[in-house]
Amino acid sequence: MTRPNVLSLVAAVVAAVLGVPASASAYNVYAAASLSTAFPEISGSPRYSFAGSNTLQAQIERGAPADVFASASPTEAQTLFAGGRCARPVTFATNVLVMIVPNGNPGKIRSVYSLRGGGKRVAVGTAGVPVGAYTRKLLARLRLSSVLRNNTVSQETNVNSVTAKVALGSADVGFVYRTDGRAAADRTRTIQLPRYAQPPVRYQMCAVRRDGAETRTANSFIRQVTSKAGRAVLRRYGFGLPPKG
Amino acid sequence: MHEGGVQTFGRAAFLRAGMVGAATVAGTALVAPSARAGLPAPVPVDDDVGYLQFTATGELVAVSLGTTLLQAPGFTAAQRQRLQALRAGSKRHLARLSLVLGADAPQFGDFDLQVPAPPGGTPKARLATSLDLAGLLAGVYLAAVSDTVDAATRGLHGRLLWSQAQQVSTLRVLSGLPSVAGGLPVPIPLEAAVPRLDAYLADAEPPV
Repeated sequence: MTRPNVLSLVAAVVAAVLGVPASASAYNVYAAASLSTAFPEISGSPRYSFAGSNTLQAQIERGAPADVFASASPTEAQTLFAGGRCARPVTFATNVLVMIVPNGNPGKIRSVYSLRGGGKRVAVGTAGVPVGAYTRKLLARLRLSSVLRNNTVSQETNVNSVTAKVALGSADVGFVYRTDGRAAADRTRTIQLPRYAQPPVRYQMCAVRRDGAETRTANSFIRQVTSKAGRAVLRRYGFGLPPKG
Repeated sequence: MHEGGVQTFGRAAFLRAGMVGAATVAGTALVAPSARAGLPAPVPVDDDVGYLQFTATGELVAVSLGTTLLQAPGFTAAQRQRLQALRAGSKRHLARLSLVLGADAPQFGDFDLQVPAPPGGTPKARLATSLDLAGLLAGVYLAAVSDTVDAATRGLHGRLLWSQAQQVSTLRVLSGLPSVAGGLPVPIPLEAAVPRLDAYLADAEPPV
């Protein structure tokens, strides 16, 4: 047996042991944009679609060929579950909101209270996307909802767009997840937000129910993400972890 | 556990501290309607939720601090009785605030609690931490009374302020101070209060 054949055989055996069918590459994972760096490191097998959780939810409701759905808040996954479009969601990661400013901090922003005076360019998620909903909740808890009226606000459809806007210097500040701040650490600086005001950011994931869904591979992927190795990758990228069990 | 002069309580300890609190919250929810009969229900408007969220989190920490105080050595039976009453008071405050906040109310387990280790670990030093937090909450309740838009929510803050003032007074007596501080209290705006409360909170980080 030649060396490539041996490797193929080993791969097939490993796949069989892990319960991953040979056609594993044919399944689709629809995941929140904030997972776009961590998920491919946990598994390179699926085809990924990363976008705002609400956008992905709408696509699945219209029949998109998703096998796994991972959202940045429980709302979207639970809505699909309630509609019979996915299995019971599991919480697999947590996160916290931070502010990021471009390197050099041209807007001279020292804390979230610097936005009270107005005149800054602020990037936030739209109200429908989880990062935008979390941002609005946090600002209300700080009694700072007015910053969305007093400043020039750009509303982005997903967190990656908020990060890009700040990294390119098109915004003075953006509200993103801690993991996004880490991923863009070479171009931006992170400013922490008060802990008490943090809404609990919970990521949930489920196997999509539809005709022709790759349910077995979907469940295998979910097990990979929630395994010790998967949790270690998530932790390395800055995600928090829910208690096991 | 002590780390570098800071006593930290992991998620499990924080949850344990809150178990009784949660039970009381549920219990108070059952009896509260008759006690509140005739008072309009708070319906927070816009950013009114800020003071509710802050004080609920503060009361959550106060309950946990109360638990650690009761576990600490050096208090007499009479002092422990007062400490128990104080913790019960914090639980009642938390219950009232949680009823208004609903699903958004902070939960035991949302945070890890970190408490500065008192120098020498004397009862007086331990009480100083609780007194500092109680004073902070009183100042924020006072600010909430003047800033809150919804009248019923403002009324709730006023009643909690009245109750919190008694907590401060009791802690002062336990600390060997006069029961009443000189001068009038000043409101503490959220911006000034935030770092003082955040000093007690750390992200809950369960093991991989």
